[in-house]
Amino acid sequence: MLKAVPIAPRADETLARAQAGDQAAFAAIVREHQSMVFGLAYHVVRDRAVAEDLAQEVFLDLYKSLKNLESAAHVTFWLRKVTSHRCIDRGRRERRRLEIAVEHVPEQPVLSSGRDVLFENRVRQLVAALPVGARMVLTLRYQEDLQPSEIADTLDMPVNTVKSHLRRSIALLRERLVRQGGLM
Amino acid sequence: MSFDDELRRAFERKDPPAGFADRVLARISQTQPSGVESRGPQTSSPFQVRWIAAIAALAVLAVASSQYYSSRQAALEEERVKEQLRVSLQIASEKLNEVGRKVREYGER
Repeated sequence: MLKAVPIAPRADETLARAQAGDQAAFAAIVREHQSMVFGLAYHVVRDRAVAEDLAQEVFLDLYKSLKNLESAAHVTFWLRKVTSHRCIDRGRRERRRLEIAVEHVPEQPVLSSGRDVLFENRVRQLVAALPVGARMVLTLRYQEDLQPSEIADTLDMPVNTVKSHLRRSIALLRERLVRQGGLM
Repeated sequence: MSFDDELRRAFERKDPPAGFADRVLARISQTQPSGVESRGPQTSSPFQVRWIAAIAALAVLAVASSQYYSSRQAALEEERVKEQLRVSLQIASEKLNEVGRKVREYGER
């Protein structure tokens, strides 16, 4: 199911031009979606170089699949889906390198007010310790603000599994952060 | 700020390093485009090639069958003519034997 987001007709025109072989139009699509794709990849793989490589591969796939896409909303849905599946595949292949045991994450003093870089880093470290599927669910929930049913569509996962991942992951993060005094 | 809001901040979208789109386009230019309308010479897809091969094979089979049928018909006709000749010679031989027998009987009288 496509996420019902308002997308300007101009985006559909850009897609049509890209489908007709206009490289500038395709570049505009890349620029429009690059922070979404790179962000999804970066939050899951935790490595800027790997995230960029993965994001580039996603856009190469997009270029090859342009003729199958019907609208700008379809492009957004397709990019989220393909990026998520690629992230999960990559994360599973590199599990040993990427997943840090929660017990080994060093505890740091964290402030809880305002824009707290230490807090964000701490959250990212804790998220990195989660299984890749749970990481992907959290990233789609909080980066893309998707509802559990939309996440389920994106990941081809039962909606109850998505809800379960969210409940357990959020509880774990909250518990760890409270224990470290970073959350009141 | 709620825990959800904190998480949204921690999971904000990230911009890739500068020049990302140019690097994507450079990689595309190194690969064969297949998802956009081709402006170069049209080439046959594997599906079309298989159809052409199947049609060519059927044409060869039809020509070979026709030639086999023609040669078989000629052989049958040859056999029929040979049989007619054999029967004709046999009849002529029997008639000659009959005439010879009558000539010998007339001579003995």
